[in-house]
Amino acid sequence: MKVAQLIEKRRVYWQELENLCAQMSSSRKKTIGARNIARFATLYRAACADLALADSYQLPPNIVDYLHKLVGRAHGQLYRSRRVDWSKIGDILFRQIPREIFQDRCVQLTFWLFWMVFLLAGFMAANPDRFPNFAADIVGAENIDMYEQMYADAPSSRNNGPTASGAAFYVNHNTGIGIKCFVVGITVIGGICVLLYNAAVLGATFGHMASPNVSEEVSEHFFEFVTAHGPFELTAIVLAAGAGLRIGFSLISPYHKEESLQPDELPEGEESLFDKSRRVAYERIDSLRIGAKRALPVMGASAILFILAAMIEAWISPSPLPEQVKQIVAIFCSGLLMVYFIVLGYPRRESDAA
Amino acid sequence: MVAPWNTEAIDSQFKVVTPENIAFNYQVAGPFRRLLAFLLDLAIRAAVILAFFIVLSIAGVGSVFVSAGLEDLMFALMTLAAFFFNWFYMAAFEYWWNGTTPGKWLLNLRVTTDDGEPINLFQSAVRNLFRYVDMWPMVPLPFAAMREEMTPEPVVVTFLFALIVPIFNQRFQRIGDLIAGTMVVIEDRSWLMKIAKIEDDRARLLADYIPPNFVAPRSMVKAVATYVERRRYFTTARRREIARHLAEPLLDKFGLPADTSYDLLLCALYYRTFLSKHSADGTKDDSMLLGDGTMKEHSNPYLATANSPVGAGPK
Repeated sequence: MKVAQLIEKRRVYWQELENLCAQMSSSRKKTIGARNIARFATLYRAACADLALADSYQLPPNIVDYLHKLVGRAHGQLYRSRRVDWSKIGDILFRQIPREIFQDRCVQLTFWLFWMVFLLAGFMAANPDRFPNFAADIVGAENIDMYEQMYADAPSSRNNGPTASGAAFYVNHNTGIGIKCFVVGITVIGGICVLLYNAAVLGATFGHMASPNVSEEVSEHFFEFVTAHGPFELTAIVLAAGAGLRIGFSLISPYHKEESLQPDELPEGEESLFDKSRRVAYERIDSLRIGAKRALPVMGASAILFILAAMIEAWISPSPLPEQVKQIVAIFCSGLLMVYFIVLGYPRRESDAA
Repeated sequence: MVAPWNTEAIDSQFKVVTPENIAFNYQVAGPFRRLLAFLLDLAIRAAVILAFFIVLSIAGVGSVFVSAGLEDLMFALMTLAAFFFNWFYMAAFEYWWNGTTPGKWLLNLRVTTDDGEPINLFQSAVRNLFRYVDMWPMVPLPFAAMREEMTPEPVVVTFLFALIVPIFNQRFQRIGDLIAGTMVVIEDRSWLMKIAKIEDDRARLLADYIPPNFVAPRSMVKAVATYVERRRYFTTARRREIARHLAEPLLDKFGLPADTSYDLLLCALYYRTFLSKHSADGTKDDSMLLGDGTMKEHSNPYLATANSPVGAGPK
């Protein structure tokens, strides 16, 4: 009674391990108790050993299948997902991300694209004599009418002034758009299209509001409302698009500069002393992963900016504060962004040494 | 020696080597089981939001807010909750629940990395943000009548990418999975099957006629075991048809009469390999070693197995 007896003997342990697995997946670690956890580890190692020796024991295939599943389940319970190290978050936010953004070619590209198109559309929409109907073509005549009606009253008198639900709405709506812009970036062309579309529509709206077609009062209200949250929001959309493009480009061109790589990302045996560009070629899928690793923190910064912009848009922009205060807020925000991207982001020598 | 189940399989098995240096197989989950989990998660989210609304509107909690002048705050909380539910429900659960969401948990699915390790926050965030890509291609609603007076224009979300992309890679990975380097595995709560019993006495008698020096190769043992475990689902004629391929050459080899039942011969072989006192390789000490009942109820099973690998000396 060789194999049958062996299985009978082991069955007790296997079933105990199975029960412990069920217990661990349904209750918290503390309630299980140290004894059971130690017992679990022991039983898991025993099951592993049984599986390793299954071939020598000549266990029947269904028992081996069972053991594979059992060990798989126990493995899933034993090795848990790693927690985030919150003590590093400051370092990531104020040292790594700004430097990443400062050097990121994709963010630079989206920055120039966005502002060029924005200014061009703004210029064209602001000169209706030379470019008649430009704003209406881009934004849509109905939308322009809607905007003009919207800003007929002073910002503080519409929407009942600052509200918490307004803030929540802006967080939901704007951050959602940012995330979509980021995700679409994987197709490169789609990401650029979304970015250019946003730039053209925003630019045309701004230009139209500044054009002589719009009454002085309406344009004043519009710019009073838009000023305060503009810097954060426009920067956030540029960052989101840049992060998305980063992923798309890492798929198109699977080369990464050697100095920008982490030690664990270097492929083995790929070093070339003669390669002047010092770039490392990857398989596309690995390149995509490295791109995503770089891009996600940038997207995180963009999401934070979106949320800050939403707060300003909800609490300060529609508030009855004088226009000068809102302008000061805008200048202050722009200054903060300058400090963040240029002062914190400028590559230092210490980072080369590190 | 490479065990047959460790060779590259063409089915959805995926080999994981643990830090204990043990290789075991995970079964990768296919698109349709995952679709079910996704729909369950969707239903759970919808149910929670519905319950929220019912509590606010019918149970009168909403009017308490309104009378307290906190209506604005209530709407703000609702919008924020919708935002987090929409974008971070999956990612948060996968992070805190060790790779499962309620829907995945109900269907015994778990997200792991490509190496079978647990996922981290970065991976759960990436693979869930890119769910948006799965909805592509989005097609505008075809009927002009339905589009009237609707801004923004309604689109049909086809979810074709979620179906097509997993088909073209080996681990059924979505685009988000590919970017994050994760996969979804099935973690079944399986029950332990017993060794098949051989009721027929003739099989036991026939086992004695198998030459004692015959050692079945491992692949043959596996085939015989698979056959015997499944033979109860077959009719007699079908059993004969299947067993014939192996039994005919064996009868010839053992010098048994050619009209012996093929089914019976395989049962006998099974009995001899797994159940009889003869050990598979023909040595008796091995079976004595494994058959000893000296192991105590709560002894350390790891030590027990470590001390008795096959063929090691007696304890």
